[in-house]
Amino acid sequence: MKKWASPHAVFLLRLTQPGVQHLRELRAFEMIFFAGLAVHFLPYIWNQDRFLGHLPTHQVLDVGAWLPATVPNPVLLTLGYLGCLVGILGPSVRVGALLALVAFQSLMSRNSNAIHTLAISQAWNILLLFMVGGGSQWLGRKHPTADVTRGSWTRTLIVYSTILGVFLSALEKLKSGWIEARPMTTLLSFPENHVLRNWAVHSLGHYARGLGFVLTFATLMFELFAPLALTLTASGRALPVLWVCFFAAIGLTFEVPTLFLATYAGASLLFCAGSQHGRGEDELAR
Amino acid sequence: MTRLRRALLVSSTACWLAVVLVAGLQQRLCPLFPPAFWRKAAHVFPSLAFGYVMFDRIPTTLVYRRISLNGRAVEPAELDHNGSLGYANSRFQLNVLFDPEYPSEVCRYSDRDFLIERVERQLSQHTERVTQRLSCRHKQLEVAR
Repeated sequence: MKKWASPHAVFLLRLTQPGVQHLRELRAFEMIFFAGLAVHFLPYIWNQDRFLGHLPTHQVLDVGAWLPATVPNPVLLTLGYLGCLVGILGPSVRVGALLALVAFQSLMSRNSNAIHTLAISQAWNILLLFMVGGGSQWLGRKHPTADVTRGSWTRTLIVYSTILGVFLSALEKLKSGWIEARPMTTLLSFPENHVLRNWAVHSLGHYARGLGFVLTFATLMFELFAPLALTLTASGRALPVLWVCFFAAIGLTFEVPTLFLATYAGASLLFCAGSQHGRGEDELAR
Repeated sequence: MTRLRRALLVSSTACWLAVVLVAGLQQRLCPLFPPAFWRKAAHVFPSLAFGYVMFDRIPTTLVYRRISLNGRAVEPAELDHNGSLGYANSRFQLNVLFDPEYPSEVCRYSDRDFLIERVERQLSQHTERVTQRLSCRHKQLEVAR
């Protein structure tokens, strides 16, 4: 008779299980993530006057700069993009992450309010995890099947970090009175050229009241229960697909940064590993 | 080399834990310090700017109705080159919402004169509260009620 295995243990075992398929998924995520990072920082290249603090504004700009002004911005930009390139091509994701983190963090610590988003928090988490656990190192090997254990803990920690981020945001929404305030109704009521994409203003704006209520409730329910369902149920591919649809819908309806979609929706590639039926149950039950 | 690698691993892990914890607790820590502190802190640690949630302060006000450039209505992205690829309008609105001084900053950087009809009203009750005309001329912002 097979022993009972807790659903969460099964999820964890599936995630940490070595396998070529898992490495491919991690490699795909690395490419999406570093490409998203590169796109997010592109404006630094052509818009330096605005972002890099040549002129004083009402906010303090130079306090807190991580590197002195003697390190010129083009050098930091080059290092950052070199890091992204290394991350995308994959010879050493750890080195790529280190370069990108140091360079982009230093740039952001100068004047860059317009580039701060909540996605930065998650992006920094992921870069640090790549530094700790390394990446898939797919391109650096002649025989990809030789070391299939590589990257399994990185993948696991990225999954948990993403799940935690979504769950915490739901808790914050609950605490800030999300249901009573019905912010989706407000957001859907905005005219053109605000947070909503223009097609959504024209198509959904008429139904702001009813649809706003539904979306307010649905968003909260998804963010509260999808992380729990991912880790506690054997959902197959349904939840990862639903996860992508949720973030894709946000990206289509609201103006959000590419980095937000790359980090949160991209991570669903890694959930697939944890949600698939495989050897996990058998090994645990043995 | 092993020692260097170990030091890198330990410091990265410590940084990761700190980033996760502080980002998670950001909304709780927010009321304990003045806004100026968070503005400075967000430069040093960008992840402190928003934590895990953008709308902990739920936007209930419309912040502008019409933006004109030489009499022609334009979208904020055309006026404010804030470098937000694909979300410039949204970024402008949130910046104005969270920081009322933001239009003067845009004016300072702008090489063109523009006019913003700024409205603050509670959308839920449809009651207008403040209406302003922000006129940017030669990098100087004038406010008229």
